[in-house]
Amino acid sequence: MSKHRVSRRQFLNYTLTGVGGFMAAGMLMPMLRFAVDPVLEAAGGENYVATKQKVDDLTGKPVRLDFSYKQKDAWYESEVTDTAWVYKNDEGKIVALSPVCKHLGCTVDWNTSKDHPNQFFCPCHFGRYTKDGMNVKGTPPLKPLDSYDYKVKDGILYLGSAVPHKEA
Amino acid sequence: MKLVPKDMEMFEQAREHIDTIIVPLIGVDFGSDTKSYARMNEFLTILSSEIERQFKGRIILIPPFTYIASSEEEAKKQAALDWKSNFLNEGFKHVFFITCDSNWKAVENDFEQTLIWVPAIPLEGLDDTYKRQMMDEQVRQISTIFSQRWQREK
Ligand code: FES
Repeated sequence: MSKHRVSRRQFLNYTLTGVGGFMAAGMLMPMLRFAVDPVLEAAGGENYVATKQKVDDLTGKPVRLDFSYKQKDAWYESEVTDTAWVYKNDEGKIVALSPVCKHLGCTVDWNTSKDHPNQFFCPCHFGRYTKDGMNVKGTPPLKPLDSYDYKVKDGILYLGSAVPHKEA
Repeated sequence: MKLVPKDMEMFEQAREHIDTIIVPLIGVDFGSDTKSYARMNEFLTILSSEIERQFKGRIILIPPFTYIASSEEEAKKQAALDWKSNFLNEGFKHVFFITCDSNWKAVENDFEQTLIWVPAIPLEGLDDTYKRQMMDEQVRQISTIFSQRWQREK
């Protein structure tokens, strides 16, 4: 007979740890999922909307892109149209700016002020932004324009949500 | 801005910046012109909400001044002008009326260049891109009128 007989106490110990382990895992797994899932979703589930813009056609001159998507409210499902000003900057990187003025929300236009060419101009209270979206000091807006997350697929530009400018 | 609480909160905080009211004039008819008035309604509703989007921070788009299309011109005009003087008394500097109904053209002069008439383009069957381009063009033209007014007062 072997000396390594499993004593009653050991046996119970092993089995209980085993079962307890399973139980703990069973409890922890869903908790973990809850904790991790939102992160996964934010990364993977973000809605990007296809624009009609071919990335290769973009130049240094901002173009106005309208893109629509469906938005559900309590009552209506409505088609929302958003606009972006898109161009390639000097490093060839795509820049997609939201046209919503940071003062009170009018839509800014590119290069429409004769006195201040090559800036974004807000017709409402004459707010101005430089090409990279930074607000010009002394005009009403106090923050830079938001910019859109974007992604390129099959040469087409997809826009995500507008995010506040990260202060440099 | 629209006449919704969220926008009005902003309005109360920045009142001095919001000095313009837009009043759409929309007729209703169930006689022989039902469809063309419906078309004007559709067109003007889209147009005015686009204008609102463009100039959110300076104008308030209020619910339309709605009337029976066949009702008497003079009475309609008087009522609309009453709205105008009321808003001016509230401290607004500009009140613009916008309409597709050509009947208003007869009394245009009484509005002292604050009545904007745009022809309603039939939208039925137009493809989306084209519709959008067309609306943009209209909005741009109307923007010029606003901008000129606003510049003038500077
Ligand atoms: S909303 Fe743009 S300057 Fe006021």
